[in-house]
Amino acid sequence: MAQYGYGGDGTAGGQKTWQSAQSSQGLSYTVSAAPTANPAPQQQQPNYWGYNYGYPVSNQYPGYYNQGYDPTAYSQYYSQNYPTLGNAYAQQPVAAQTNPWANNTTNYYSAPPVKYNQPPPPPPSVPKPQVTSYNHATSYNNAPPPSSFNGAAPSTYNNAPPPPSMYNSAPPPSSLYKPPVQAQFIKVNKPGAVSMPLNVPRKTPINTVLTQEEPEVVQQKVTPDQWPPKLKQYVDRSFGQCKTQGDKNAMQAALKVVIEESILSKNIWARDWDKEPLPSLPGAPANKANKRKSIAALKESETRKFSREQRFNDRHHHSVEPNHNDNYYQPPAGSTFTSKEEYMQSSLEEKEQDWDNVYNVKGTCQDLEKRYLRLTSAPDPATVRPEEILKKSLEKVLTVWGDTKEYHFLWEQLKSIRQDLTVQRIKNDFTVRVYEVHGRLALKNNDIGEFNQCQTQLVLLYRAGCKGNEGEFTAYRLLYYVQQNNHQDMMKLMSELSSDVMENEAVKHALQMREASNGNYHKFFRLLSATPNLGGCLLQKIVPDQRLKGLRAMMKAYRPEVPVSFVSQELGYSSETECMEHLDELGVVYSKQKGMIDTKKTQL
Amino acid sequence: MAGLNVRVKRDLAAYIVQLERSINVGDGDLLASLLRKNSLSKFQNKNQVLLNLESQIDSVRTEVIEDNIIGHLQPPYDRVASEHLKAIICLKKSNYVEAYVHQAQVVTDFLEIWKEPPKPGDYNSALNTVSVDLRLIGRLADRELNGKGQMEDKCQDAGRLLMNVFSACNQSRDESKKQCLLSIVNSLFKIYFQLGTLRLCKNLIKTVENKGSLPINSYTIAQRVTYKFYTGRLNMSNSRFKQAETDLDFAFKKCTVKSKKNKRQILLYLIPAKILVGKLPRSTLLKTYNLVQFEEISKAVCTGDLRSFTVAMDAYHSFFIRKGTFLIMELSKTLVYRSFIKKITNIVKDTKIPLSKIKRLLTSLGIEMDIGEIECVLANLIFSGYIRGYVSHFHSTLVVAGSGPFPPIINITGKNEE
Repeated sequence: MAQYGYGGDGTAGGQKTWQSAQSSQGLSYTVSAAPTANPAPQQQQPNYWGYNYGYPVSNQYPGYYNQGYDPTAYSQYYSQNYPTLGNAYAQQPVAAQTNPWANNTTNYYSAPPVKYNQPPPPPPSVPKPQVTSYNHATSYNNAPPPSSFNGAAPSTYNNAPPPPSMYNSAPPPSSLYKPPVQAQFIKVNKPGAVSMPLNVPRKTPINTVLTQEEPEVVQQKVTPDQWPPKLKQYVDRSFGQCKTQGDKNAMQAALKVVIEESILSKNIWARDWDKEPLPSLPGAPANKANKRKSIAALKESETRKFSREQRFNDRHHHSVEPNHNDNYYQPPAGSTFTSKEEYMQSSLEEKEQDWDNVYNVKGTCQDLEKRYLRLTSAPDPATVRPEEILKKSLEKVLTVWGDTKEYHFLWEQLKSIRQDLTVQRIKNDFTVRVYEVHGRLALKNNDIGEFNQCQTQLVLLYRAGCKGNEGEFTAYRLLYYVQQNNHQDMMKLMSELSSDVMENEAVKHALQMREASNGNYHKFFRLLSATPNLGGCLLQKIVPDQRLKGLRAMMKAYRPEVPVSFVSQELGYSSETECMEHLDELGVVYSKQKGMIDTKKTQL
Repeated sequence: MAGLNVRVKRDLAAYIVQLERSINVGDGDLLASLLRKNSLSKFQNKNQVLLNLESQIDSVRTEVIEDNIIGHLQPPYDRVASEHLKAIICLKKSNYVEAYVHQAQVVTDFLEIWKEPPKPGDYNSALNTVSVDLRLIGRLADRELNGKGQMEDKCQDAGRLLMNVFSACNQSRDESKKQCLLSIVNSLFKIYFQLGTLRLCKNLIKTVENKGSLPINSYTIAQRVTYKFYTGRLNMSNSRFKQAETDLDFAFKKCTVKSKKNKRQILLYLIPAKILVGKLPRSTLLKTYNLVQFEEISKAVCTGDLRSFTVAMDAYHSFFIRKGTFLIMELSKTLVYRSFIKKITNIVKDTKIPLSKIKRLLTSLGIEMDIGEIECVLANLIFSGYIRGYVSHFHSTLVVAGSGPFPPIINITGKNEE
């Protein structure tokens, strides 16, 4: 499970794995507090996120959403894992091949990336349907008639139609998205293997297992050329909507859901795919826009804004996580830095409440915990929390929940706090505090998109006069531009730096880091270990690149050989062994003398 | 003509007569001068009729103008003219956002006319005029929006409209119509550079340099200079310094001496490009164009004086940042190091230079660098190719090649450019 910055489960045991994982990053930093239930005395105050942790292990955020998901190119759906129907469907589009675990009706054992949290189906107790035609002699893809089956079958095997609740209905909504239940994978190792648990229906009847060569349990394929042509057009249209790889992955998953569902409900031919609404992209405009025509019908400004956002998606290719739960808020794709985008961002946030400029909400809700839902209309004061409650909620986030809950929960809580603040137009030091906390939290969890949003808002708030850790976040901003290699915005930021911000140590460090990132690996890695606050999270991304550049320069410049210890020291590795691992990966040639790299022979 | 006083009536009538004449005869230049926004333009020959009208027109409300033109002029042109005049009225009142809306309408309508003019003629200059005005008004409108705290989207909108014009120009079958392509491309460059969306420029360049398009010599020299200026700047931001130097050199040489401001503008980018290629500016040039900021830096690159380089960079830090050339000037620090090492080799007269000596010399200059950093700098110089030689880590010395240890910079910079 992804914990913010901890490799383990957040307990003391997790502390260890976190530390060792961090040390494997090869950088030294001070860990000032163990984030356990008993924090060290000096860290009992709630500014938890200001600790000099360094940066987290590169954990998957949010880890469990990605589990089982295979984000390869969308041509994956041509691969073997795709749900398949078999020839029977090509011949009998609507006929009820109702044997649920006959070879061609369900991909129950296959491994679609979208996992349903379905228990194994109960043994259906309905009469056997009449199977009029089958080709027993042909491939296992066809349904065998029950009469060819000779005994010793598990009692659950029969040609019963699928229980309506399971197969005919759509898979549960993705809000119940849970990690896969391992028991669903039942591998048949040898042909003819009969020993299977009785409570789980067989995918293949015994005789076909015996007759076929390779009883791949999983592979029930309807190859895409067996799809109706309209379905192919539908798929093409859906992918035409996608603009980034992340979108494509999300679209692939959504398409798989739709197609599987139609296979299960057996109307893959019956459905009019021309009229089907295209699956909606996370972060896409409202569901109406799924229809191809409606996209053109969207106001031009909205489409331009959307494509602008998507452009930033490309640019920063990490912002929107495609697996976000549909019920949860999707941050606007690729947040913003320059003043134009700042305005866009703030206007986007305000647009949610822009129906009446005079209208001002005073909240009355008293909950400390609140789910986050994107607002589409004026909020009900009963659901909005006043400032005092929000303060308490923030404290709870920092102290109580910070240890125990995973990132997504905290993210949601902070997001709803931010929403309540925006709705009530509260822009003061507390707002700054909320954004700073969220920004730090996002940094530690590698959520650069969210961090960017917070940071943009903070710029506006600082400009408006609110007090906060402006130096710290300006430094983060600089390091962000360094990491993105964004010269224009960096120049702009540098020209706007006020003199008192320049005095800040973090800002000074960031400016030096900027200079050093231009090939001065020596300075870069010296400065890296002294990065204040959470800047390391951002710099970590360019470390491999800097190392490679530095290594190349060293290999060209030094003759005849250079010691590994020196290289390891210069390039900021925490140990020689780690350095040697990387060097071996890169194909570095060692000299006869121990611990020396032959620079001439090494070709990088 | 309802709702107008006598003077305005007279001037408006005169204007309409001129418009009709230009349309019936097919006189593109006259049409261009009538569709210009004189307040924005620095043209010498301003159309007197339009000037008269402009001086009187700010008393009129926009709706009245429309009534008085529509129906009094040929159909496709009446809308153009009425929107044009409305835009002028708004400009006079400094109502830039509204002026932009009208001007956008002018461009859209005129584009249709330009595609299929009722009377054949060369309307390229008119199209160019309205496009340029669109861009200028867009910029003013953005400034106004910025002042109000709203989102600045008019420049972007102008970019979008001009892209329509660009594609219409590109796709027209008529050869003479394609003549205005470069001017539209230049307007688009200006917008994109201001907005910072440089990647949109690539498409434009591809189209212009496409084998099917007109050869670049067929455009006016003025347009070519502007074009080369922007492509040079684009190459600079993509680190193609050699190509940038060629482009900006052309622009500078061909730019007329009369437009000193333009020449200085070109120099601001040409000098860094040339420094990186190894050609330093003469002090007379810098004095003529008031560019003393580069004086000390070019001297430091020449002599290898690290201290004065850092001092100069600190002093002109904000200047370079404002112009956007700061990062490029930082790259010239490598050249300063190169000259420094070169000087040392001349003094030492030996191919082997102990690093401790370099360190001592630096300390005497007031710069503290430890051996590791010196080695790093040398490694980068050798890797880039500025120094031919190697560093022996064991002996802690730099060993330079016996012959040609410091190849000329012009051969080295841009070796890796694609």
